[in-house]
Amino acid sequence: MGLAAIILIFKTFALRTGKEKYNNAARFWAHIFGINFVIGVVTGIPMEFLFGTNWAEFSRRAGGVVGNTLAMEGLFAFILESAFLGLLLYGEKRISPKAHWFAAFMVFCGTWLSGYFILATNAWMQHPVAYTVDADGVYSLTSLWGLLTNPWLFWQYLHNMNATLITGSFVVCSVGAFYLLSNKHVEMAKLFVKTGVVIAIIATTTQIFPYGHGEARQVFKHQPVKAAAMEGIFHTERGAPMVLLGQPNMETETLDNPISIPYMDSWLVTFKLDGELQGLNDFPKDEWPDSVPLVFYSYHTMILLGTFFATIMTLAAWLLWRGKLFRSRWMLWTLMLSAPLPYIATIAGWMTAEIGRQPWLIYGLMRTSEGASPNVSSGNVMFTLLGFIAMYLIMGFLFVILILKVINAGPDPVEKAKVGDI
Amino acid sequence: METLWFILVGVLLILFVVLDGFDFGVGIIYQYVAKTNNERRIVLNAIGPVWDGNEVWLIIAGGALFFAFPAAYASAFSGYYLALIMLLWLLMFRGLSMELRSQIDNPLWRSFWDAMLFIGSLLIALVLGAAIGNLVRGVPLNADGYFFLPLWTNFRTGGDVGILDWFTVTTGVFAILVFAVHGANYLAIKTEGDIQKRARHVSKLGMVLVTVFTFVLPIALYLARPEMLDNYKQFPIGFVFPAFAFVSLMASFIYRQSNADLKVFLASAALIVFLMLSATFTMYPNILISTTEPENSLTIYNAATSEYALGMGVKWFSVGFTLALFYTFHMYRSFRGKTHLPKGGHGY
Repeated sequence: MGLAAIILIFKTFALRTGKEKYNNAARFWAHIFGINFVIGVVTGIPMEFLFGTNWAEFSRRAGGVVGNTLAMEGLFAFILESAFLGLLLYGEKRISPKAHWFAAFMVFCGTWLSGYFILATNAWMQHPVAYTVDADGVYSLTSLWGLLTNPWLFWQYLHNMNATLITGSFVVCSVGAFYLLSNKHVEMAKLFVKTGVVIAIIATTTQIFPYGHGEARQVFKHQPVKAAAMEGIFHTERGAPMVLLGQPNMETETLDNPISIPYMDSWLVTFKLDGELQGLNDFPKDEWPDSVPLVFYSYHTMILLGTFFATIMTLAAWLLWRGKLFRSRWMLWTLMLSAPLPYIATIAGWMTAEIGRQPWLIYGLMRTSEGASPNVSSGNVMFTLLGFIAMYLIMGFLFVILILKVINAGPDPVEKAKVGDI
Repeated sequence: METLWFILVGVLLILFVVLDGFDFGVGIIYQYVAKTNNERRIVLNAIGPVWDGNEVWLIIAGGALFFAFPAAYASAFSGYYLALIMLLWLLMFRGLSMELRSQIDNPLWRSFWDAMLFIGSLLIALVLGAAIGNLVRGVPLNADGYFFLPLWTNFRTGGDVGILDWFTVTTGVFAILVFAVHGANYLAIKTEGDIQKRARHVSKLGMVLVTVFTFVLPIALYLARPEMLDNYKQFPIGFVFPAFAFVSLMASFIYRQSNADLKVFLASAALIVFLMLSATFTMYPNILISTTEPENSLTIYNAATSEYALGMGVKWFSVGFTLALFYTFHMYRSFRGKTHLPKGGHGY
């Protein structure tokens, strides 16, 4: 999703300036986008069906609500992407530059709409709205508009989509830094690093404030028990500190070896230094997340990485502004090696959201243990789980090989033509 | 409103089978019609830009079923657990095979993905055919509206049935033949020279086999479960569907004589539409037919979501469906004409 936006930016520059280098850049990243897309499509197709195969009881009871957004994703977003990606990848010679820009625009719209519908589905599971429930526990929709404008969705969408921009811009930066350090494709490399840093400085700082802050505050407001696990607050307190590092000790219900900033958490959430934050002790134990330490660690991994991103990109932007970035080898090394980190931060963020939601499948309404398919035996589930693990390992392996091959071949148009002509 | 959604889900499924059907078919006959690497690349370039769009109709159909009839979606997908998950694996590998083949220039790499494309397409066709056979035959639903079928038991159609029995295997093989013909007809339009010649040959041969099955199938249906034909007995008007299917088949024979490729393709598309309608007609108003107690059947009434959601759904669906049809049309239009090897740039 992040790369789709960056490709659109390159195509826009190409159309505005008429310079071929922007088209070359777009073509190179579209090739990488294409490989991502294939893996995304083939791993995405099962998702919709796995609701039915493995979470039949959840599907039966909540399908009347979440089915709406999932069906809408297919009809409004998925088809948009697949119809226009073919044009973006294979149609450049067949259509005019404006039409090709339009294809990039539609692919961008498709991916970001797709994100919207999926997050609307998740937002309902985090913060159910616009439903009624009958005597059998079957949920039905009372307002489609309410489902699509779930208040939870606002911060979640901004936070998540901005995360995709961070990932995209870090990868673009990283490839550019790799070329600069190896003294290959220098002109293109500078374009990649420059574009990446400019996008990343905006995305990484806004990710902390206002997006991340907004998202965290809504968790404190609507899911206080998850928030307490995230921050490692075992006992309700006033003037809670912000813990940077520490180990939740579930036996003593305290935090071991905490390194923290006093009063910071209370101030961030309530805007008062002595504001009260609820601790885990305020809630019955069977409503605590199944693994408090895992929620705590995922959240802190995300926070620490996010802080690192903003710091590194502020420095890189400053170097770029002073015209020293392309000669600053230590910074280029850092940018090159940082590419995997936003993936880790994104996964950690989602682990916080989803493991933190446990034991609930639909927050406050339906427990995860109630949602599984009653008719599928655990032996069958293990068989398919092992199969999926094998499939995903193979695909991950192929993906890395193919991406490295494309990066190694480089963005030069001459070499590009050779790759396509095989 | 429930009937309308039954029709809409049916239309989506039929669209998926007609559109993705030809690229499954192309996958099945691929290694026979295209011998050299360049020929294979031409064939892949003929389906490459469209297969993903075709498959999206499956996602949309699944989404529509999920939304409109949650109970049926939950029951069917968990009940056919293993078959469905294996279908997903096949869809995954088949998608990869088309997209990854061109990425590395090595004969072993390419042979591997060629084989994957064939195996994937063949088994998907078999599973889809068997799935329709299963829907027509019915499943042992319990009072909670759930069932669980193993992949196979003793291949009999009564008692302790599996997903595959002799009847559903027959419908599966039939689906392979129909898709192969449909795919050959598509290639005959999109290619020239040797590939076209071989595709027309496959089409001709395949149609003879399809005709044989067209007569075998109703008999098999009657032997497997005579009550499957109840709807036809009650509403004889339903016979128009198999009749039109037969007319489509005859039309494709006639047009094949003069090699009017586009018309033959449209005829095989019509054949698929009417075959699907014939099968669907045996089910209505059931979505999942219970073989144990008839009152356990999931119908469009007891499996549907709220009236409000269905009504609201029709509104966004009509907008989305129109847009989606428009994109699909636009995509086919952009890649119209005979397929050639791409010069430079990207290609399969």
